[in-house]
Amino acid sequence: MNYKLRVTSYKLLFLFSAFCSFSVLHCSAQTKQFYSIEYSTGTLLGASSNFVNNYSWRGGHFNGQIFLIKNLAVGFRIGFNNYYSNVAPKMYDSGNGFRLYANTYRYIRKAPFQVGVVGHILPNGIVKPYLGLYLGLCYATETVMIQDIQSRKENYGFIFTPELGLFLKFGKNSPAGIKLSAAYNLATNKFSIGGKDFKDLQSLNVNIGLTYMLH
Amino acid sequence: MNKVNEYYMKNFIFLFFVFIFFFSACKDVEDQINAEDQLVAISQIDLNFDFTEVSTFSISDTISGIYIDALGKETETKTLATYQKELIIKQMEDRGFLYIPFSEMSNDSLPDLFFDLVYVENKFVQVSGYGWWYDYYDPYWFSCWEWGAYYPYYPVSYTTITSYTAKSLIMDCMFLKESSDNKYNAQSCFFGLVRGIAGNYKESEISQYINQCFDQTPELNKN
Repeated sequence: MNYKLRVTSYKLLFLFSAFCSFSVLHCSAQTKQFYSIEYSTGTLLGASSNFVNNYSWRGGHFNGQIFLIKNLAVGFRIGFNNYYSNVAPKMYDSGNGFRLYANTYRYIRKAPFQVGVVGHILPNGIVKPYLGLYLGLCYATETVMIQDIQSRKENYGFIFTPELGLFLKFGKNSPAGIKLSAAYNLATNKFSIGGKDFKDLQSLNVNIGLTYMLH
Repeated sequence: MNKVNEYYMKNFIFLFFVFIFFFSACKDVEDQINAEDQLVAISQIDLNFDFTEVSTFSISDTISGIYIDALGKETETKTLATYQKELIIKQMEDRGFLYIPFSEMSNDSLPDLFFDLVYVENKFVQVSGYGWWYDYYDPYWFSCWEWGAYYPYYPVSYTTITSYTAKSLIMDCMFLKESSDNKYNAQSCFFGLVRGIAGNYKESEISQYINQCFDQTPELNKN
């Protein structure tokens, strides 16, 4: 590499940096932000639905989206979903002569912390459909309770969430609106409880929330 | 951020706290306990014991009641009603065993099996320092999170005291056998336990769970 070429490289690097900086500044001037609080319902899928099979009405999320360019935003998503079922009394046999007849309270609780990218088809419309792909960490606990005795597992895993949803603005110039979404969650949390192994946590959630948009 | 956005952001923050308040619904641990569905029946059978080799049984004339306070001290012992005893006699007779009344037991006519019955009331007291909303022991939303008390890191904190009483009927079935030195040894071959908490159970409920201890143990059968 000679001196002339090296100078040229520095110039190219400078120009590229300047381009990136101006792009960010340009984007910032047009940035819109969405912040939402959501009520989340859902059901477990896959093997874990054998552990808790009730539809859950217990969940909530806080999420936000910040636009990088017109049709693309980065987002975050935190919250929780509690899945619960009260299993009617039945007999459990350990196989070595110990048998238990009881009803059991079962819980699976998930708390995802995710970031992702969100694509908007109609970012300027009153109805704003979007598709988001989120990735992050999922903290989960799985619990079986019999009377005052409980067995509880705690674990972490990666969670991947494709989410399909839409924003409905209250009016053309309103900064507020409703958010509706459906999300499939695949978490790698593994646990073993009651003598059974579960390799992942899958769920399907339907969410509704309030959104405020900052310009 | 312009003033309009600032206004909505304030509202948004307010709504967020309303949301949290709504979701941190208050329920106490006692509310979760349903007296009707909280009895359990536990049995343990010695799978190597051959019940076809024994034929007679007896049962203690009274049930010892043991009351234990929150500090683990035994406070009282008394004799209880014995309808439970009649249930056990019926269960064993249905399985082909011959009942020898307790009053007729002697060194010359000892039964093969002997049931000892004990009733235990155990009081538990739980003192918890709760932190913020998600730390509340709420079975509906957040029970068993057990994230620990965050006091004094969060400004809102309080302490609650929960107490409940576990009531257990223990049925211990022992095989009596004469040892070489003319003494008798007792070997536990079947164990049954009916346990409930925080409820005054009906006789029919307790009877159902006593029967369940036997029903889930088909090995306890002479036939």
